[in-house]
Amino acid sequence: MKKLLVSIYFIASILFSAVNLYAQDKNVKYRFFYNSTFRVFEGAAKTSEQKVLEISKDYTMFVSTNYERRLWLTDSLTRVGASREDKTRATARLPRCKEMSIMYKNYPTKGKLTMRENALKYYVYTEDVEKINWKTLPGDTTICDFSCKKAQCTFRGRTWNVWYAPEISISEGPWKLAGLPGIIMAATDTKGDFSYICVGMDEPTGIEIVIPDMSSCIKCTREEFMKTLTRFHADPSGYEKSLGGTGVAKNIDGSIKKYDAKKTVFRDL
Amino acid sequence: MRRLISSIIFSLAVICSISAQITIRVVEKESHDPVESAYAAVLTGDSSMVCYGYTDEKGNCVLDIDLKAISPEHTLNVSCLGYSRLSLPMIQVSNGMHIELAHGAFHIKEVKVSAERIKLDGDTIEYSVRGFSQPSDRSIADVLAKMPGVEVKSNGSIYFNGKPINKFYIENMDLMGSKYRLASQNLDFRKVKSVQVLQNHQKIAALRGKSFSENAAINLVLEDEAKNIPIGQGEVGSGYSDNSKDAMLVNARLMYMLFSKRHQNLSILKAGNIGKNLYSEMQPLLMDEEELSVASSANYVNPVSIAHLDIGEERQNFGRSALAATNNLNKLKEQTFFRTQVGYYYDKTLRENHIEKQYLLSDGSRTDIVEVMENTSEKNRVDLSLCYEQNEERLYVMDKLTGTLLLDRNKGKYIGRNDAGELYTRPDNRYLYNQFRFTKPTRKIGMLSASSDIAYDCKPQKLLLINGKMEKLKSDRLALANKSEILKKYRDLTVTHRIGWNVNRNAIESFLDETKNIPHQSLLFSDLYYRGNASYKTDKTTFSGTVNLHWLNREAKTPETVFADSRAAVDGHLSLRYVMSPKSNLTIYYNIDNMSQDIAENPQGILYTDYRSAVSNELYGNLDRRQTLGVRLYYSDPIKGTFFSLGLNGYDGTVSTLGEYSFRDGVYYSERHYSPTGIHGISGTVRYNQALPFWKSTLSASGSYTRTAGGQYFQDDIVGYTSERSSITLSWSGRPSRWLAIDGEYSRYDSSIKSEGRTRRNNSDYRLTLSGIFSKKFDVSANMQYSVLGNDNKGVFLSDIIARYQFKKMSLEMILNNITDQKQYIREEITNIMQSRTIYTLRPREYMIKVSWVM
Repeated sequence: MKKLLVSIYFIASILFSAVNLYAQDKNVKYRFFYNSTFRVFEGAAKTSEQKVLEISKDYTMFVSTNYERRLWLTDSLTRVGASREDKTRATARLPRCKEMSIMYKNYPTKGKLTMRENALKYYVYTEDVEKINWKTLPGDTTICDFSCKKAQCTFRGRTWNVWYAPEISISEGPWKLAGLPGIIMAATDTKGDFSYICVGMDEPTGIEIVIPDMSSCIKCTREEFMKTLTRFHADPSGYEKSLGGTGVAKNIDGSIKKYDAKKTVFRDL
Repeated sequence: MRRLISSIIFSLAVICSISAQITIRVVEKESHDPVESAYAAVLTGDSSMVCYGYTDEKGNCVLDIDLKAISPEHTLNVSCLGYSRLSLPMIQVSNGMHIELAHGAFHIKEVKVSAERIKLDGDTIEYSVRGFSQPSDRSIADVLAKMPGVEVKSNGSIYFNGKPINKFYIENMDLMGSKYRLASQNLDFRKVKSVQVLQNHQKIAALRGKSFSENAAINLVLEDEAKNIPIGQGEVGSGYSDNSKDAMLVNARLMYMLFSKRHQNLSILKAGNIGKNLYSEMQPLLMDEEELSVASSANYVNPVSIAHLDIGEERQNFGRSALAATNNLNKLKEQTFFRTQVGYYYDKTLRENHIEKQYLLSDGSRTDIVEVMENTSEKNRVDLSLCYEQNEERLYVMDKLTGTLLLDRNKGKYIGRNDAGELYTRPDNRYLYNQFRFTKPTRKIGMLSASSDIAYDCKPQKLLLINGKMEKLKSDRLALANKSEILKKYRDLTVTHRIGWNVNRNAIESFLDETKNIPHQSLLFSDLYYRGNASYKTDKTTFSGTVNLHWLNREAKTPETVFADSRAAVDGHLSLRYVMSPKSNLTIYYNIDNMSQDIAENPQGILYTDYRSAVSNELYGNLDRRQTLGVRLYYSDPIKGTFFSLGLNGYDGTVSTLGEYSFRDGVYYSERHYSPTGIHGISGTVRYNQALPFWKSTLSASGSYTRTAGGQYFQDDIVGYTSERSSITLSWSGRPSRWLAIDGEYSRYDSSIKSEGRTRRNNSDYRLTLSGIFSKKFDVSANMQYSVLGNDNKGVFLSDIIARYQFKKMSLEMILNNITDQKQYIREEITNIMQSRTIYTLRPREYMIKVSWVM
């Protein structure tokens, strides 16, 4: 009897949490677009890509705009039961994205942060949203016609200088940066590896935050994923072999393609 | 007792530490339900943040703040999505206080996403067209000229970081081939979303990753609305000119374009008398080494025309011209294309110019020629080109057949200081050319390439001389350039072996009335060569060495052999390219060149080239030798919009043929003699472009300097001369406010020669375009140019105004050209044998109305 009651309680709590999750609001209320520049490997030139921060009542998502388009299309096709080949064909002509990384805040639960990353396979890790210790600094500027104030923090080994707009009382920002009394409009790290500058914003209607199925992703911790990515960039062939691939790519003349070992530049140090 | 005191102290410390925190509870105003994830921050009077926190599921938020440190200026700000922001003085806040948030929507003012002006993706730099366009721009070439790192020359050719591009793609397809000016000058920039510069572009897919290219390609990415549907673009204009000979101005342009995935077409019909040089739009701008070696040479007989003005040909050209061209590209398979290009050009132009030339003659004298020319030229030209191209990683095959027929008639009068007469030339040309290219990767021998270029041109040409005699010349020329090449890669080392054979054979004769001035002669120049190249490439360094072994043959027959020689020659090339950082690289090169003069187009005898000039060949020179040492430095940071290039080189060598210049009976003779003499020089170019992060602006600065020292005949002796040329250009374009755009340029050219006395000529130009944007529909642009001729310190001011009103897809333009009605423009040039001063007759004041539309 006791076991039965425990089972009923357990099932009920799962159902309740599922219903609760379903009831969460995914409708995007605000979108902030950032021009992001970043360095993937040590010594490499910086590259750039547009990113979007989507904010709903319950979640935020930070992702490359090109990748979001890909996600949205894949998600739509999944809903109508399209095959994997159809999805590949449909997304083949979409613009390439440089960072296939998605960040969800308050997912799966409040106070949690989920990252889905790519290193030939999809990896997912969840961590607590870390409270950042900000130091406000003297300085004013204007970004996208909003007057902004300056602040600084040291977060995960990097010092970030940011500009936030007190006029927009949303305490979010690009990537994991948040916690200021206004949206973060620009952020640069003092090593010069990463920067975000807001270039636009809107209040869309009828758009939902897309959360892809992550059940097939490899679950790991942040530290484990960083080790995996380091291993991948240091020896792509060996890494591919470890995933069950051949690890061999050939040139057109039949010779074996040589990969160079590269050292990853992480935002989280 | 001690324990008790310790406990009390500890308890007090705990109490004190607890008092450094404050807990608030955030609830909904109506229901008093807790609000989760609300943001609460304590701010100082200047909005600096003291502390912050988020509410938990019970609505509680702990703020780390010492209540004793709170002043009346401190405020507590609480916000949450879906609720109105609440702000209250901190002195009113107590521990455990309930803060009520009312439902309310917070609206942000929409800021449209502006694309980055420059993006970098690997080797591809992408420029946003909207990020660089200004209201005065019309075609995509106008916008390209403002993009940092990109340069559009006056003939329409496009350079990136100081080097010519090797392909011009539209939506990744090569519709235009080498005649890309037709697209760049006519395609409305509003149809183009972005311009991609594909750096180090290897145009042959099979060679990518094997053969390195330093040249870039350009790809136009069109707006979605311009893809897959036919686009029509047109303009019709009419107006009045103060020119009494052609007072009525007309201009029309109709374009049809289709850019789909399998088919592209660009057809154009242009006609008018507003001074546009349509001829240059048909000229090929991309030529490889082999194509250049067989390309139709310059005319023997020069048409009576004046070098084009650098202030814009439309200020100087008088005449009526028309152009009809169609370019069609069909994608047969994924990487297989068939291109057809047909063009017809007609031009009837009247030119009036005043030219003063001072020839520096070899007998030590100087001869001054002053002449006023009035010349009407009439050109008919038909071009046809068919091209098949299969560009796959496993095979590259290309065959292009080109035919050109040019009928060119020039009639006019000249009035010299001591004489006057008629002008008449007919430099006609018929040209047929076939180009074949083949590249295939093989397992055993590596990359196998072969190419064949065959060109035939026939030039029946006529010239009326100053003495009233008519020169009739006929030349039949056959040129071949064949080569086979094997490229093999051994890890980081790439080795290339090439065997080639270039032949230039020409049969030429010329009559002066009934007498032969050039007896029938067959001229041959052939070069059988082996080229070996080894390149060693690592991440940082590329070292390349090339050696050329030539077997050169020259022969002149009339029909007896009057001249023949054969010789071996060796030359080579060494270069080292060092990548200093992802943004910069340095190249050091050293060349040794030994080359015989190509005699096939230099017949023995006296050849008249214009009504008072002649070239005389009696002997052919030996090998010209030259060694060159140079350095090129590139720095580019596309993300920051910075592009810098620096090129320096010095050379030393021997020129085997020297000219002797004399003036007899009104004819200027250039007699070529075999007389080896030393020549050396240095040159440098520097170019800096910067996209600035404000006012949509771009800064550009460039300069060049050349110093040449050589010898020339002077009083039966060879004396040294030193010539110097320098130029500097500074330009800035930007939009400092919503209603104003500025495009300014300063340029200065200096030329001087030091031989028997020093002479210097300076020309300076100041250009400024101001555009007033009164609304999205209405803008006015004013072009102003002030040019100063240094030696005379005399200036000329030129100005135009264009007012444009746009309504949906149509626009109405009112144009007022040359407002100050300037009649003349003066340019001075100096070379080692001549200094000239040309007074150009400018188009007078003109008024025009133009309607244009895009469908």
